[in-house]
Amino acid sequence: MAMLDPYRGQWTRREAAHLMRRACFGVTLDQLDKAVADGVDKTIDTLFKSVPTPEPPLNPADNSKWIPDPGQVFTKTVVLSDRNDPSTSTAYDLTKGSGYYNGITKVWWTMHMMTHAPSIQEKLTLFWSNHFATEMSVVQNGIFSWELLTYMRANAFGSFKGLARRVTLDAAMLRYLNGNVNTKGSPNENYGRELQELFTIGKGPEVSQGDYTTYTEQDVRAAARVLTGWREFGGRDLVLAANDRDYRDNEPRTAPLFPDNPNVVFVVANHDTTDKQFSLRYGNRVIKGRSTPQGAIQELDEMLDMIFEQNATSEFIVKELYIWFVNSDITDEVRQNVIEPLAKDLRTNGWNVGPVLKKLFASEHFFDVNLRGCQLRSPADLVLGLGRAFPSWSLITDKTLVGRYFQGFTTALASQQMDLVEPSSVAGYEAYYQAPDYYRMWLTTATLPLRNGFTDALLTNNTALGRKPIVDTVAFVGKLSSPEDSLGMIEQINEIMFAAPFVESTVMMLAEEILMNGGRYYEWAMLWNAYKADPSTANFNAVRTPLDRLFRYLFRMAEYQLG
Amino acid sequence: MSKNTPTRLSRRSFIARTSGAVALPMLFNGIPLQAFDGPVVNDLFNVEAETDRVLVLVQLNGGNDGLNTVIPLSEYGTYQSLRSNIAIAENKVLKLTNATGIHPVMKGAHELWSEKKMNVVQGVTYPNPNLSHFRSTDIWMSGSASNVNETTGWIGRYLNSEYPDYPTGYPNAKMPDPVAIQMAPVVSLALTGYQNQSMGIALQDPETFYKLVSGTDAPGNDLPSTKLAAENIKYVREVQMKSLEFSTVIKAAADKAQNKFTYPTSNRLADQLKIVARLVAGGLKTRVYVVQLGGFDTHAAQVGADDTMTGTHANLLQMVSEAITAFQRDIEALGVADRVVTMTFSEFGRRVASNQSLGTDHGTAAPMMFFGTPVQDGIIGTNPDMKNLDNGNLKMQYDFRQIYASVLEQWFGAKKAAIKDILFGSFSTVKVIKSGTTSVDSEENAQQGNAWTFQSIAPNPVKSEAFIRYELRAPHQVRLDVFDNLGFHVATLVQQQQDAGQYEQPFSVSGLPSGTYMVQLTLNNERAHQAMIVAK
Repeated sequence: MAMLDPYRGQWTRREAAHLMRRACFGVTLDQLDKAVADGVDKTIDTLFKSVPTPEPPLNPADNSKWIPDPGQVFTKTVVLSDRNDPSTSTAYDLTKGSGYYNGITKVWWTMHMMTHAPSIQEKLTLFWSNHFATEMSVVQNGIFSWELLTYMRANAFGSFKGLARRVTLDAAMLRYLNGNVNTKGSPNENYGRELQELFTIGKGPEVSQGDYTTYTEQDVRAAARVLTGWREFGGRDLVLAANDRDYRDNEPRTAPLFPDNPNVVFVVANHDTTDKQFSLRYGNRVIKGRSTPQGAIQELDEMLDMIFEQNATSEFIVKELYIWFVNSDITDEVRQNVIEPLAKDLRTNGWNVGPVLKKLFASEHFFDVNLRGCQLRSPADLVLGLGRAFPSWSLITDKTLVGRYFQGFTTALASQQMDLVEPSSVAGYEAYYQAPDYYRMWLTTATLPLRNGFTDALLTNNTALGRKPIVDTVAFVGKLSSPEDSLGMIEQINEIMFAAPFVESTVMMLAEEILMNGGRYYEWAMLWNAYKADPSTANFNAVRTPLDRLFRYLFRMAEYQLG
Repeated sequence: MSKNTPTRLSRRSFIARTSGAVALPMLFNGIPLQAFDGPVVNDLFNVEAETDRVLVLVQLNGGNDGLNTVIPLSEYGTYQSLRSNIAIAENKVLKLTNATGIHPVMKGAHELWSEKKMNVVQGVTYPNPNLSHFRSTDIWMSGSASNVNETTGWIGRYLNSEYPDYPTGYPNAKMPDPVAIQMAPVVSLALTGYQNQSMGIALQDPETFYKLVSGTDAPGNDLPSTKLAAENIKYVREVQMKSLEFSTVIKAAADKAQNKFTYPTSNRLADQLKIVARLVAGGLKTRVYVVQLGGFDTHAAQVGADDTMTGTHANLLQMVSEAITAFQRDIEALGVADRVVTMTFSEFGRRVASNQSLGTDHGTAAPMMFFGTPVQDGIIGTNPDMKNLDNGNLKMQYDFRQIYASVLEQWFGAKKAAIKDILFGSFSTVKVIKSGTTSVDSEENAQQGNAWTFQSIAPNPVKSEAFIRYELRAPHQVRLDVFDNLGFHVATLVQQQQDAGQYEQPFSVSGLPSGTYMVQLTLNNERAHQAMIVAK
């Protein structure tokens, strides 16, 4: 059976939970059971539909709007008459700094990732923010980073080539990888290098000095020269923003050229108009130098065409998607039967990622029992997955505490080393490229204790919930069939929340040593039945204490770290 | 397991086999055969590793601009003309010697220099340098050639050779503490041992570490039937076990010693070194600590627009200098300074010519710095030759594996055969640790007593031309010979009476096949040797 054939095996909570963990961090028990009832095909169809995006966040300090409407340049509304006087701005309070606004974006995104209906869109957006990596703390402009993220979300299922083009001329990226200072006579190679090494064609083995199989140092320099002259509009340095000259070198510059990307301009004098000679790796292609803004766009498009004509580019991105969603170990068999066919699909369908991923998720290979648990949960899988499985945010009555509730999850992601839009470098989070450890990079003697601290806290009373825990174990267990049967209950929990089945002795150990604290497994039925017959405080506590003890242990088990 | 494992194991066993199987002549020209692996003096280092020696590795992530860290005053004109927009004013440079100085913000380091506690090794990189941060970091961490994808780390392999089977059976009476500690959320490749196990544990703060770990129960033994899931569970359980076992000893050590010197605040490097000082003084037997400071990828705004002595790079160097100086003062006050050596490194230096964004692009060779009481003070190598560049980049003076070999040999007392295994080849050493610190260094002593020094061969490994440096402090009859690895004479480079002075003898290896050669310097009746590797 071909590995990419549609999956036709059994479809129970176990398979559905595997799909949901990988596609959208996790789901509630009700959502899981709906997927089981819908069947695999319909569930995957649903996962590949866009979900509505909530309104952009306001500034919580005064509920003011700080994100401009699509296509609007915020700088137009806040041109400063005096560079040193931020009080002349209104829409984007410069005194608060980018860290403040980026913090709002992170909490807002955490909330959206935790609350949206089952869909692959947000985990895919997180993939793009890791693939085309930027660091908010380096970009230092809350609006630029917001807009890049918004573009990635809106085009998450769309054209990889389109994303690459947009990212190349993105304001946040121009800042992050020094496109702003990439000029004729002094080309800055930073973006030209990463475009090839990390974003598109990928770096192969260095076969001779400066020759990385897929491209060479010559191509890095040539790409940098193609991209000379592009800049972001000016961000916080707004003195001359309304002018037709760039404040950095006082050279004439264009008005924004792209209606949907208004923060990018072109400085004609900084563009290298000579021809760009690429290496043998690109068939010795020469890109003709041009002198107008439209000509520079043409140069960029010719260069992207040249890069995307190489099969290595489609294979590189499919490989990254595979590592993100499936497995880090790409065997020859996987390369031939999964990566290469999907890469071909991508090349022939107009570079649309959605259909390619859908085929992968619907395949026999994706559901292969031997691949279950081959990943370790990323912080997003752990933190957001639990947040999604136990959506207690719906119980918050005091709306002023909503932000605090989600901020706890944002902070947990950061401390476990998955700070949103803050990877450790332009290569993204190490767990997705650092061989041979890959996902194991997430789990160290420093981060495992933090994970334990996080899951422990879910069982303690939460202020925002009026002193109720985020994970209500009694309510959760009450939804299972025959919750009075401790062994059956643990088997069901395993099926829903664990990637690999427990062996029989583990189930018994959990029932007797943990749940019953040294008692016999069948004694649980008495406690549960007493509670069902009379849910008094005493009877409630008699089941809550053992269940909390059980869940605290389950979340700390090595088995739970498998994704 | 990792898909890379089979390749790595087969290569390692290949090395093990060849080093035992090749028969060499016992003696030739009066030199024992061991000389082929490095200086003859190495034989005298065959002592058991001292367990109280501590190495602190300071990683400067992003590619530190070596030319603005260690500034070539003797070539100031060239320096200034190639990087006029970021050049440090000549009269502000803190002088180490008349020819060489350091960045003006590095006042603390300059104090340590004047107290003879600092060493600079110039021009360190490797043949065929890679300009990618990620690849070059991997090369430095793994301690392998640039065309080899090695998945274990250089210090991890050394520690693994000292503590075989780790982590099975650890902690134990001989090593009750973590073998290595990285003050970060993750452990770097440098600490990865032969079986791809990390020889180090990661932690950020002993107190929090202890609190979070203390609630964990001992993990079970049951495993699911599928292979990948079972391996992952085993991995997590190992991390759980290590956290459990080590959290108590680490906390105890940290509680035992308090810092005796005030560290600078808002300094990410000082925050880490501050804990290292407590753990060392608190009695942990941990051999290696890894600390890091990021932000050195200064493509733009490396210096301030108005003053090249300010800006990102100045801030970073100030942090490095202040953090390391405070650490040194602290361990001196705590009485453990004799046991600690600190070494800085970065994945590469930066392009010689600056760009117009007041920054520098990725480059190659750069200085490494050593700090500490046991450090042999001085500058090894020469100011970089900025007129003879390779694609705008500096040429190699020393292979970083020479420096690693020197540290392993002179600080940890590793045997030369072990070093050869660890670094996948023989590398000649330079003197970074004072004589007498590890063991008696008779040849070096003899050289010093006789007023001459066989200083270095650079580059080494050599591709086309090597420069053999030696210093005479009195006139001597000098003979300089090269032998191949079977003891056959290859060339006589010098045979004459020479006056006192500094000599640099060029030697073209164009006609020689790749391999290990030995260069022998003979003065009157005394000899000194260094290995030279020809790699084409």
